Amino acid sequence: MKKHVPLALFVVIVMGLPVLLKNPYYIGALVFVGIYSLITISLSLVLGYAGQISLGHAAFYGIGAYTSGLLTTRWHVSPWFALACSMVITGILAYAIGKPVLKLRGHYLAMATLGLGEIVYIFFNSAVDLTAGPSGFGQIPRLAIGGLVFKDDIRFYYLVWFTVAVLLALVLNIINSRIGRALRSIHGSETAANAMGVNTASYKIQIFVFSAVISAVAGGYYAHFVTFISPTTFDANTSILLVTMVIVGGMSNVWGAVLGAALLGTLPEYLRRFGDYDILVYGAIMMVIMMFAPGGLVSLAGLVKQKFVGNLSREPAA
Amino acid sequence: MLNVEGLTKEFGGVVAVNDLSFEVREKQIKSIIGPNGAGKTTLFNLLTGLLPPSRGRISFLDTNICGLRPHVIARMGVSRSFQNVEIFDNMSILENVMLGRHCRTSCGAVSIALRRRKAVKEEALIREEALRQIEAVGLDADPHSSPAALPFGKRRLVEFARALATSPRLLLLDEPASGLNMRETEQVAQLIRKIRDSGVTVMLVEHDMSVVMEISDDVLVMDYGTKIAEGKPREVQKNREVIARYLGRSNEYAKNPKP
Repeated sequence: MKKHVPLALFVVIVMGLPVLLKNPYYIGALVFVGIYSLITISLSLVLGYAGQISLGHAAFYGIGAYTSGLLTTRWHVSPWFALACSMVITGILAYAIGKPVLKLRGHYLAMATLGLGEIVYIFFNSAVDLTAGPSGFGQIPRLAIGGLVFKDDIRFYYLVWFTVAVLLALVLNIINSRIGRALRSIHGSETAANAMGVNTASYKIQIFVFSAVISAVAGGYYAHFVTFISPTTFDANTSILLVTMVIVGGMSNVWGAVLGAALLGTLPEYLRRFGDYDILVYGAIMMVIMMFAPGGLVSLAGLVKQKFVGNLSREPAA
Repeated sequence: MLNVEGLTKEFGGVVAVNDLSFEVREKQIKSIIGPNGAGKTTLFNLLTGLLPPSRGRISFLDTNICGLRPHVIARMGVSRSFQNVEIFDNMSILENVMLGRHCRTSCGAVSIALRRRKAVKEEALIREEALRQIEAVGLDADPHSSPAALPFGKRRLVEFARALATSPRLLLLDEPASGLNMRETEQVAQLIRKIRDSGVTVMLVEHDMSVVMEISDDVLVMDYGTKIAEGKPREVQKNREVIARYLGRSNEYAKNPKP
């Protein structure tokens, strides 16, 4: 089964990385890459496949984190149940918001989702009684399965990346199916998609809610991993970072979402040697990528594969 | 099979389609002709639900389809092509045509995500049917390649194959011969006949009179949103008003109608 090769390779790399990386600090960084990957994979379905921009995904990430964090610290709900609750609540909110907002297109949708992110961010800051305001709150309990508590970086690393692998497996099945084609048809021409029998409005809301729910999982993981949350983690910069990860990685491919999260999630660590100039180098790297690989990092991988394996389009995609 | 009564569409003060009534019988080729801006494309958009009518009634297979959303109408068996060819350049040719099967298939996200046997089987059937339609329209191109690089005539064939993949009862073709050379036009005319012979009713908007007069069973002439004539191609060609308003006196089809 040729199509399973990339996923198998991915699992091997994920399993092997902690063995190669001796420095525990890097493992912690990779946990965040995994958390980001969850969001970028699901966001790439919205952005790259269905062609709907969202500049407010940090809101769902934040709602997931706050719901899970608050339920466990204030009401002492078990972490897994809290995580499930945060998925449900975020899903309901995303549906309520997406229903009217997804009727907008292009720039208008971008503005509306940006506004959504701001509202949620302001809420985290202002509802001090509930969220503890700008200072945030801590002592969020860790996730555990039986006696296995995900308390150190390496354990959490495996939990997060296992989740990423499962998500990838499911999403890869979806994108090469009637549903994946329906999503891409919305991107290609919504009018034609409609006329061919695709309920575009319904697919747009479904994929939006799906990605919001996955973002909530990522938020919950964040809360239970860091055990402290405050609003700044979920501001507009994060929303934009997430979209940038998807675009730099390659919008039209879910692997690009992982590559983008991996690059932009770890780049600041490499750039420390540049001291105060790190942000300049960061910006320059992004510009170079977008100039020479407008299709994102994954398009470079495509070129390499074409060179060594031969033309992709020739192989029967069975 | 299609009954249109008093169909009217107003855009602000402009009446694009004005109190139009006509009927399309099963397995015929009905052409809509008329000058630019006569309301032909608007009519197609009304029939497929892309535009809501201001007034009137459209019944398809004895069901009122007025006000139904486009994807519902498509599922009922009305498919179409677009004047400017609206295919999905972000998918391969095969995937474009496979999308046409969307409304005839039903596997949900869960069974697809888990690769249940039902979903795998359905996907194989979709692929098979799509390949069959690509062959049926005579498209010779690598189905796994992108349609973006295809010449216009072949892009149109991709659109035909996609429309046919929806298993339509009624197929609306908006200027299928525009932008094609003579040889391609002839191929398209033959293809439309073949489609009709396979049991699909065809409605056609077309400016190329050689195509219209050659293959139509029935012609409806529109101007300023109203019907000015309707009948067999030969009758319409002789109609004075049609000659004056659309065909022109010097037109060969106006002067000597072909037998």
